[in-house]
Amino acid sequence: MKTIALYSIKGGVGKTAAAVNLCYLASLDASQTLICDLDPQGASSYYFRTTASGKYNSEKFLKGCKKIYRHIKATDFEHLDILPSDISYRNLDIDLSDEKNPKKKLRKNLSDLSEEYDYLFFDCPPNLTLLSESVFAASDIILVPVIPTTLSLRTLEQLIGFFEDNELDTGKIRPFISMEEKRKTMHREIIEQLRSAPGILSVSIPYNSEIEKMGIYRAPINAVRPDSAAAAAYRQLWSELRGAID
Amino acid sequence: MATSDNRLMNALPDTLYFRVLESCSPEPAPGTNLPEGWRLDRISSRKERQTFYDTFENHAYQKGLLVVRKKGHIEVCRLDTGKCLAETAFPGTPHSFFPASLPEGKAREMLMDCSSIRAFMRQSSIDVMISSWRVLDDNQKTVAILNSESLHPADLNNSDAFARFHAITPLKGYHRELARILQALPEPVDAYRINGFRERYMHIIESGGNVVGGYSAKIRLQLDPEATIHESVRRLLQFATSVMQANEQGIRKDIDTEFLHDYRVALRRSRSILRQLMGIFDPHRTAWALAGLRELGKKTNQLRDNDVCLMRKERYLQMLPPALRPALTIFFDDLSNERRVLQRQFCNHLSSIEYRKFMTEWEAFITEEPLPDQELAPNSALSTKSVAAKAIRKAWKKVIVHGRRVGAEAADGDLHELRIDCKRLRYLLEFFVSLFPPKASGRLLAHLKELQENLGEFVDISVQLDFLLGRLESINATRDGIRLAAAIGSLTSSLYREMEMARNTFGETFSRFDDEQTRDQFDELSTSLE
Repeated sequence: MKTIALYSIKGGVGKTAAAVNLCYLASLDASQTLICDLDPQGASSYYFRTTASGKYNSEKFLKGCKKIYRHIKATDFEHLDILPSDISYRNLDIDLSDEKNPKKKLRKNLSDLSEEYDYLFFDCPPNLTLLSESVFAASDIILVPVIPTTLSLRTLEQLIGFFEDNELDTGKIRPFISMEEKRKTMHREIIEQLRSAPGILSVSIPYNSEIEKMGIYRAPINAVRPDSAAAAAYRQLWSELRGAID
Repeated sequence: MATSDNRLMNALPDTLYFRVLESCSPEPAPGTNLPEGWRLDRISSRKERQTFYDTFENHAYQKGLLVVRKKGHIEVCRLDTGKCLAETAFPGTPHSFFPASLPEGKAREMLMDCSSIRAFMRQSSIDVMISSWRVLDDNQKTVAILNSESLHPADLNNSDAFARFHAITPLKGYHRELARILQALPEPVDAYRINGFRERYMHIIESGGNVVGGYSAKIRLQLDPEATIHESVRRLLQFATSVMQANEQGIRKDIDTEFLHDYRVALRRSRSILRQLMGIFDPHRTAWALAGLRELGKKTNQLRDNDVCLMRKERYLQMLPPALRPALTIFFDDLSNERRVLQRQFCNHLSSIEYRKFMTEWEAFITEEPLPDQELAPNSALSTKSVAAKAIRKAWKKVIVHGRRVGAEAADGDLHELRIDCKRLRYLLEFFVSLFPPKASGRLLAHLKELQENLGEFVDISVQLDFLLGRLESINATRDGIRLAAAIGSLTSSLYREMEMARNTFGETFSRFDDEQTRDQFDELSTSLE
């Protein structure tokens, strides 16, 4: 099982859109795929029209396998399941800090899923907490959407710095340019700088109204608008990513 | 790719089948009773030809599997959930096929595991008209799939369905919604008969006039210990005859070799019981029956020898150096042609007036209820239990006496005879098994089986050696003939070594049978009937 986290310290950079579209693309060749919505806002759960059942909460998530299996739901797409988020996830960090080995907790809890799934995607909340560290340990790749802006660039540097300070494998970090607007001079300039960033993927995702409309479609772009430029960009990104992980 | 039949997938929700009762038709359209905000979204309407296969003994069914051919593929599914475990491309819908003929892969492996020598036969073929819908909740999220199926006999221009089902499959994680999902059905749930996948399958097979699990060559007689032995033997002979008759069609159609094998075992079992339990029928009639059965058995001997040799083709080829294999391949081709002739001859006999006349008289003999004249058949009125205890003790003693006489050199003739003694004891034990405590007879049968396996291996090889060496007589001194003689020579020397190994292990195997524990178990068995 390959584990891919969509992660950024900064919010609003296109993590959920990327997670929803990439997991859908991963499932298209009959690979069993699971998206695990870790963000208490539950945006990817919303996109897949799912909600966690009333009995599910962060405590059950931390209890691991059996409790988790029961709450996995099928999406409307074959081979693609989701573990929906719950509002109680806002306490995940506090709950995690009570655990014995919090940084390895996620990896341990989800290890049995490898019998079932070929790909596991994490849609992460925007912060740098104990949960983030647990995600880093559990992931093979940390996919970081970067908007070509100074702040976004700065958060990428912060992330790399954190990895270096904590002796984590910076090779897992794979940034890609998100919400690119070619007509903006600043975007073009920052992208130029980003090209030399270590591990950066060559495909960039354009700023596109179709992606914004995902909230209306409540489905991956490739499922409803496969001819759109955004759908094509995600396909290219998935192709490049798959080449990097398989 | 992750495996599909692991622990998690097994936890997937089953499909629930709702059989539409005849009184329900015509039904309203599905979805009219759904909760507010819910709706159905049509996926497709299609016709699907489904052809079901299993062996004559329902090996797949016994293993909890179902084999169905649809959309150009053979699917191996779980019988309880219908979940497809393996599939492989499969053109056409032949009357029967062998698992070995399937492409390499999991489906082939699973069916080989069911039986590598029995053919999978077409059991039933149906046309299914399927209308599929998604059941959407008030979030417009799919929570279940609804299939409405009407089942029609295939190839009949008959539009009447023999059964109609609604199949509801909740998506993973939506079990809790089941009560609301079920409102997608056109009628309230209690208007239907709720079936599992297995019941649906049984219904399909039975509608084609077949019975699942209706055949077994194993004896399943529940004897009354106080009944006369005349009655119990007649019941056994009737059972054995039914096995013979059940296999006749398979022999005629030449589906696989086991039809003839089961036919022969039933025939031998009848002869063996008749020979061992004397004084039960009029001796003249017994002599007539035994002679008739012996003649019938003889007509199948050569055909069975050919079958056994042909079944070992691959093994025999592997035992030879590659240079000698082509000669043996030609030999097997000849053997196969010869087998065809023998098979036709026996089928002709099965259709002959002579056979029909014998079977009619035989059936009259075994169904005749009144006890025969006591002077002619002095044992006929004895109780089954008293005869059973005596007969088994006698047969067991015979095995022990003959076995001890075999000696260290273990001569061919002695081992052949001992094998027959063992078979006789086995047939008796199997006949009377229902009279004993299950554990006691089970233990004894296991001990006997071990001895029989050793003797069986020896005698089988010995028969094959005779069969192959007999062939040498008819080989011409041509180039091909010399090659074949060399191949048979090489093969027989390898088989001889195997036979000697079986001979060498006889002493040890027999001493395990001839021990105090087995003796005690036989005593226990006999006394349990007193």
